[in-house]
Amino acid sequence: MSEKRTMTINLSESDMQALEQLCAEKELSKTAVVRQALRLYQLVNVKVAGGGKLLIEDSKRDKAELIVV
Amino acid sequence: MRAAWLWDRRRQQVVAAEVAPQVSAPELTEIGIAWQRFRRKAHRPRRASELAADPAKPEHNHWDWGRKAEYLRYAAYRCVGVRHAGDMQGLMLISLVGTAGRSKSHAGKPVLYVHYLESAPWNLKQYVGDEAQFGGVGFCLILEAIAISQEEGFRGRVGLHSLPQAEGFYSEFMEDLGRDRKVENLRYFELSQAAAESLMKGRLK
Repeated sequence: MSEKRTMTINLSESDMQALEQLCAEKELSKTAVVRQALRLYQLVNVKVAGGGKLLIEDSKRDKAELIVV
Repeated sequence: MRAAWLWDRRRQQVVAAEVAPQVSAPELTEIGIAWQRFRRKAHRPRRASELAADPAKPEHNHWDWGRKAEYLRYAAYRCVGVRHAGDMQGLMLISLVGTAGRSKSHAGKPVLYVHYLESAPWNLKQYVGDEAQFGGVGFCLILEAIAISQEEGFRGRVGLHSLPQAEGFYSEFMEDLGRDRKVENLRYFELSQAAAESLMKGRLK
């Protein structure tokens, strides 16, 4: 694997709360959650830039919601 | 690079190999071309009509790793290989965005998902009969998937959909969670943290 680099990030109280909630729910470290978020964001960003749309399907209502990214 | 071990069927001995932790898109394209060329050559004596009806033909015969190189545009995917004697003996495409676990033991927790896993065609009896060279490639790649899952914080959990011909292999050490209608009705398998740890204990150092 490529070498890892360390950085410091500043988060607001609400952002930190969201991060900690995800860490607890997924049993992941803060670094792992940030990595997950970044990978997902990059994937969505490239797809959307290529003309794709992000839809979230509601399995109960059989309805899709368009997410604007 | 991590060490790996394969079974040399011709010499009847274990041989050292190495894990290629991140196969690049150009290399993957090159390997894809070489493997496709090998598959075509292996099937050359047969007619296309015979080939289509051949039940022994690997179900992944049509896989084109060159096309899968497209995935590597994203940080969410990684291609891992196992190399021996200068050749890539197997490839695996994984997703580094954890998918939600389905097993009761870790429902909703992130699982490292294996999209594709294939041994090089010269290692498969379906192509070369008794000349098949190295065994243990699939298991070696699964061990690497576990190691990456642990590094990513997924605690060794791994999930995958299996082609019917590989169900017997995966069912030996993974939990069979049944057919998935949303993914070509393939059987879905998962490896728990405990099962992953148990497998890793048996890994040769």
